[in-house]
Amino acid sequence: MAVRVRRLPLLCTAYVAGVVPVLGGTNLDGAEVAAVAALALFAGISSLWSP
Amino acid sequence: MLGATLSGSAFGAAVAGAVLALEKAFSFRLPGSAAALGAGVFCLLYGLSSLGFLRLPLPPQRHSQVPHGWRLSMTPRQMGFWYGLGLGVGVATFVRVLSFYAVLLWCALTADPLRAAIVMGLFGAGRGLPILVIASRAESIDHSLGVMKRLRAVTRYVRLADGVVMSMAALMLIGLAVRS
Repeated sequence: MAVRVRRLPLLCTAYVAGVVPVLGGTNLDGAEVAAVAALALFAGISSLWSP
Repeated sequence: MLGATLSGSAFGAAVAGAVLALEKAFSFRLPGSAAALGAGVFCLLYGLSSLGFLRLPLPPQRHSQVPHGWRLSMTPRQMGFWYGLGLGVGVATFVRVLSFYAVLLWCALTADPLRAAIVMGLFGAGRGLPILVIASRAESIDHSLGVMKRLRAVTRYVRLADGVVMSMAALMLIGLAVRS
């Protein structure tokens, strides 16, 4: 569990780092929404670190 | 109770997103490119702040949490739903994660309530999901506290990840401004 917890921020960053530029950089209509959806999921999960 | 928390969180966030987008749809419209550029600059500055290159105060927000009294006055399922709703709306409680503001800005910029509801719903689901996972695997209170302690130990890395994500959101928003 400790190892998994330590890897969580890295995994989240890698996920968003992969999704946001690739999808946000295209001109596809749904790509912008998909990029922001990934961003929203990251923001939600990392809100766990809010007090 | 945990399912109620997750659904409350996603529902609250979806409503908040739709309201933000509706507000944009019915209000005075800034030129899209100028608004997206402003949002991009905001994300860039706060991204640099999260990465330690700038010192900026947190954006204005409520410094409150979900009322503790709910634990005493409601059934576990009711409490789970309303607790999730309070967290999912996002703006009702203190949120330290800056990428949340990038999501809010995007929802405020788009005039599409459905899209904003889906995106903010994902924020709410993401906010409820870790609680669900931790609580479902917890063997005891001590075990849960141990997990929370380990989570706190990686806070610095979460802030850095937040800065990277904000910077990418800035690039995306500025890119949208340039293209529109």
